[in-house]
Amino acid sequence: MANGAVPFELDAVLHAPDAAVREAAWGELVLRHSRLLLAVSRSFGGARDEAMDRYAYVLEKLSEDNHHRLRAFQADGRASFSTWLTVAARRLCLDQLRSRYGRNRPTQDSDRATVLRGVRRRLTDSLGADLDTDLLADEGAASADTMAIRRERDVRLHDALANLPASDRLLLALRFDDDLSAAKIAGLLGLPTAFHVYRRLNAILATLRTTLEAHGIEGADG
Amino acid sequence: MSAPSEWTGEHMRDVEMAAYLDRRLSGPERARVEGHLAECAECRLEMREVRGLLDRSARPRRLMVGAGLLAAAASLFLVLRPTVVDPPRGGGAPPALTAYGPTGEVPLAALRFVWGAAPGATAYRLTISGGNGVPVWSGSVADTVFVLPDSVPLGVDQQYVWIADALLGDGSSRSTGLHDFKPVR
Repeated sequence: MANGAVPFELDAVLHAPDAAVREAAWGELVLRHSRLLLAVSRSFGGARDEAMDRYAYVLEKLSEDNHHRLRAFQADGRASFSTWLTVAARRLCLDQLRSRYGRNRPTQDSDRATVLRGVRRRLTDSLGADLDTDLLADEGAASADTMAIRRERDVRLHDALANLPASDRLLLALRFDDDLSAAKIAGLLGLPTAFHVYRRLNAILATLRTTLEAHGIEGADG
Repeated sequence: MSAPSEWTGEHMRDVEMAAYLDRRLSGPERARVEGHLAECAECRLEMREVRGLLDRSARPRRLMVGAGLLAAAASLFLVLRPTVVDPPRGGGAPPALTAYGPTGEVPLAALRFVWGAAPGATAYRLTISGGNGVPVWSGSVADTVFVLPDSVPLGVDQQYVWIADALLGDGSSRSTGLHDFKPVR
């Protein structure tokens, strides 16, 4: 097994010599992690009965089929049990909600255009441009040349984004697509402080600016 | 490159998401996962929400969950899954360490000694004796799960007794009490 430590109560459930021992070990495991499971169940809102329904559903699913979900976790061995349990319990709660109410489409689409727009605005700000011409109300009045320049700019920006390391693309998505604060992003990505997020963001934008300028595109508007 | 408005590929597996949040992925694995997260709003949302749940659960314990709700959960669980623990022999005060097994007849091939952890325990002492009280094996173990070495064979259909004691840092101890078991084929 790699890095994940298997707690003894999980080991006892999965290697119990008989059903009675397995039941006792399962009881111990549930009681030890009930606080976490209840927090996950409650995080979906609703009345207390609904939270308890979800809690019971999670327990049922974790124990069904000879605890196959727990065995799959143990077989992987990378994550800690409490982190995995939080992910698994949350997904089970979502499954239960979806089986009752259908699938709720995410309110935020992963739209590359949103990221592009955000990056473009930051590039505009950093170059001191007074106006982002994309905000002009009457875009129909833009000349063919302007439209062609914008298309060229977007293609170059698209390509430059695609060539960024995955961690940088993720940071841009969290900042411009999900609109998270630098402090939140720092916590998610394991960066020490929000300052580190800002510094990295500026470095990414500098890289993109250099790439655009190398293709003769000066400023976000070309 | 055109971006989907909703990710239509495969989402992250639960173990992958957990390993990423625990920072336990290798460099290439991490890059692959972050590449997916950059494109998938649903997985990013999951990452954020699980991170929030973990951060809140790591805070110092206050009664954030109503005592009534926790009690209801405990009673619900006990109704659904009654706990079975063999009572120890000898009477007296109940043991402070939970014994999971073995108890009663146990397949010899699956024989494994399991007991609950004691907070602050520095070591555990496991003792296995024959039905006549003669020690068969005794020793200190660091974990709460123990398998007898092959050099200590137990007789099939013979009665044995086992007991585990936790040695705490303050010099005190806690015990599972004595438990009978009989290896069978």
